[in-house]
Amino acid sequence: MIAFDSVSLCLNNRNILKNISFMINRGETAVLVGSSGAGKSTILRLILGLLKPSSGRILIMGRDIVPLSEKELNPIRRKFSLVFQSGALFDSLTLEQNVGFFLAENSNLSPQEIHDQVSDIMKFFGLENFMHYYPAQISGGMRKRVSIARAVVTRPEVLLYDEPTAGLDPLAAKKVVHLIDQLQQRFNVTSLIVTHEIHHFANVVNRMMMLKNGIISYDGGFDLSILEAFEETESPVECIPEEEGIYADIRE
Amino acid sequence: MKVIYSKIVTKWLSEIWSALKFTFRTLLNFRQIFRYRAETIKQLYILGNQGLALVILSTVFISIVLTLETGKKIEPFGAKLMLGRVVVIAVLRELGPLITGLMMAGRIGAKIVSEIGNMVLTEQVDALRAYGTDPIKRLIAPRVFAAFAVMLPLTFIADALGIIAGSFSAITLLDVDFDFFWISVKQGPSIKDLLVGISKPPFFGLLIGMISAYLGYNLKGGSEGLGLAATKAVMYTSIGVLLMDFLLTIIIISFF
Repeated sequence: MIAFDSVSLCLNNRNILKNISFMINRGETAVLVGSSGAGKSTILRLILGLLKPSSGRILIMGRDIVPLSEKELNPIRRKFSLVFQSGALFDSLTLEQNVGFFLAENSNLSPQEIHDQVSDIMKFFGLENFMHYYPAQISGGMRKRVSIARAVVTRPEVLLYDEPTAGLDPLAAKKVVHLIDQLQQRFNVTSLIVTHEIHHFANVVNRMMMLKNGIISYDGGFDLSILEAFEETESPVECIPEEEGIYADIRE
Repeated sequence: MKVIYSKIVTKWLSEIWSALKFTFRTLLNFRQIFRYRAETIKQLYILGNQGLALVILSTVFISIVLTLETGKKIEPFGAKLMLGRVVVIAVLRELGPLITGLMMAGRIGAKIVSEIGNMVLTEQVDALRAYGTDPIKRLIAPRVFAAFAVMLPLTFIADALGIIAGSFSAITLLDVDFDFFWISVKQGPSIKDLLVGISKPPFFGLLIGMISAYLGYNLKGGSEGLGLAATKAVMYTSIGVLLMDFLLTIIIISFF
């Protein structure tokens, strides 16, 4: 479903990703672990074509998305949903409008049908009493739930979570993890969870990948002993691409 | 040294190329305003409403001062009866459009850049892209179109109030006879003057909308970058309006 083939990414003279390859199959729930700044969120952006790699191929449902234009990427992106770390809710819209936004944008449903679907999903997330609130009026945990509700309402084939428990108190984090688990069971979607708080997801995922120094250092089943051995600190290696002649001139 | 210059030139050229592509894409997507009509109407209302008071106040006061200064200078030559004509031509051809342009450059420029920039910073723009919605269609085109469309009505209001304020200044402060002033006003402008005046504001609006939307959309550097982009937007749009006014005047004078 998602395949990275020798993907490298160099941003601002830093080698973020170094020749990484992995594959996520349909129906799988994988977690990608790594310390802050390791490039975990970058991988999500690469999957959606929001960033282009320096080299390598990214295959989504068998199609290489690297050479595609924004216009060509849009239909592929509609099969995915990304839960942003910050929530990325639209400030000027109510929670109901936020959740229904992409249904209104990308489907032919009538306003009444959209309202019904949004009401259903908001009830599932325990948000039915906050439909007319604005994002600024609710807590961080609720914003995260709204963000997940917005992601699932479009019935995506793949759900990508960017640090879904970051910044939440233990109770709110537990609630969010429970919701993710319920969603997996209800919709059986392919999921990739990016986090550095892996302990929350021990019972949810069936595969674990570790990103360290720009490479996938572990790819296999969930294993606590490997996690314990995982070093928390890493620093991206500085790189100056040889082909950029201007740097060569400066060095001289 | 040569290397540094070439680096700067390359950076400028790539920035200009990127701005041109952005402009082209936005103009191509103007047809999307019908799809996003609610958003476009909202932006028209916000931009018009927010700029109106500023445009009215500045035009009225500048027109009063212009009339007073001109009246005092032409009085020794016995040309006070020409005052209405001078005022109306100055307001219609230059003052109305230019003041509206400059005031809206500050107002719209800062508003669009901070709004779009904040959406970039809080990943709302990325959210649109991630879900397969083109931000140029959904966010940029309605705002730039609103900036383009709102300028002409505001200029009409500025023109009308500028002339009324001029007449008030002439009649009350310079003791010019009411009838003489208005006869002079009616004899003053030609259709050409009016056309010259109304040909400029849409270009000003397009320029203001495009520059500020580009700066907001390509924002980098967090909240500090947002402050910098807002300052840049006001500066670039104001200079842009003055330059465009100069160029359009040259073109109009050469061809008409």
